[in-house]
Amino acid sequence: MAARDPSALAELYDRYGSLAYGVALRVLGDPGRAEDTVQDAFLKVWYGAGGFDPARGSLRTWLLAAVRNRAIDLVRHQSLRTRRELALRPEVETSAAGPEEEAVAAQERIAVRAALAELPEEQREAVQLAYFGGFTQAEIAEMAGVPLSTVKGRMRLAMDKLATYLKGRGLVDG
Amino acid sequence: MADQYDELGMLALSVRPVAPPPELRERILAASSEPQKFVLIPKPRRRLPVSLVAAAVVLIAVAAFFLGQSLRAGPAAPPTFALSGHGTLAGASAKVTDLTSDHVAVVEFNGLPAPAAGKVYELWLITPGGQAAAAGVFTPDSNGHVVVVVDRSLEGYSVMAVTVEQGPNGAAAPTQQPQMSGTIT
Repeated sequence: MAARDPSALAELYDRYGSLAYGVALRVLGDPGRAEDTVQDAFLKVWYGAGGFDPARGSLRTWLLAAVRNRAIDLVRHQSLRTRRELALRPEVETSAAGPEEEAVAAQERIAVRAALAELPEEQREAVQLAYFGGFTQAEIAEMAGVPLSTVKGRMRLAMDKLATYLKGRGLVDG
Repeated sequence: MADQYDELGMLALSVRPVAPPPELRERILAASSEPQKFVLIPKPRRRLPVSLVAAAVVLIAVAAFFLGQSLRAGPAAPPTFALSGHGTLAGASAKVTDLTSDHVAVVEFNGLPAPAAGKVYELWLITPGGQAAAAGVFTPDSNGHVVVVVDRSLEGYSVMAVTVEQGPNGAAAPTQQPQMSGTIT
């Protein structure tokens, strides 16, 4: 990728394009804007490939972070109500791997969703609003009518539980 | 907060993959191979007072909006394409509406960071041969938003690009590689 080999970009897209589009669609809820987001993110990764540091995470993580961040930039122009609805809308649960998904990736998806489902509602909402809605902890606290420290505590607990759950299943490094 | 969001990244794994439209792949691969070199051509431009330019941009943008609305009510919408940001402008985006019958193009930017002090953004139209023609200077508002009107036809040009140049009037020719670019469709 750093040497700008076009076939590398094509391979990256073929491997992660559907997941990237899924993340963008999850945040934005709009197929057209999701397409633009995916294009922006892949080209950002393409032009910034020389700056990728494998010690900081996988290329997949880097790419998905670019997709999510770009989508959040766009969703922030929506109303608070729309952003909240998009961030918290439920997804259809399926246990089978889709046509765009490898079995290992499906296993990860099912595990992360199961971990989220086991969280208390206020902790799950906090992390979903933060990740899928781009809300700051202060904004989440204001919407919930609780102190900022309460939201910080809920998110800390949620992340610790998610990490413990996934590490226990060997799905993240311990 | 950066560490918190790094941890939150695992939530991306909870998302089910969705197949994007097939043409998206080709758009991305095509955009990645856009020309990055320019042939510098000094081209004198009329220098209008900034206030007049700003007023003209607002008036023409409003007119173009309503013209666009009437066009959208008809059988064919004006062609549009996107500009994608690179490097420091990777978070910015732009939508270009080509009002071909009026020889005007409207470029709406979002997420554009304020340029460094003394600098402005400059829009360029680039021919297939790499020659760049200046198409206006602009700066975004505090929300990173700005609408720029290109008062010429895009015919004969293959790429629209943005660079950062010395303000207030920009440069006669690009002094850097494009920070945003898109293929003119």
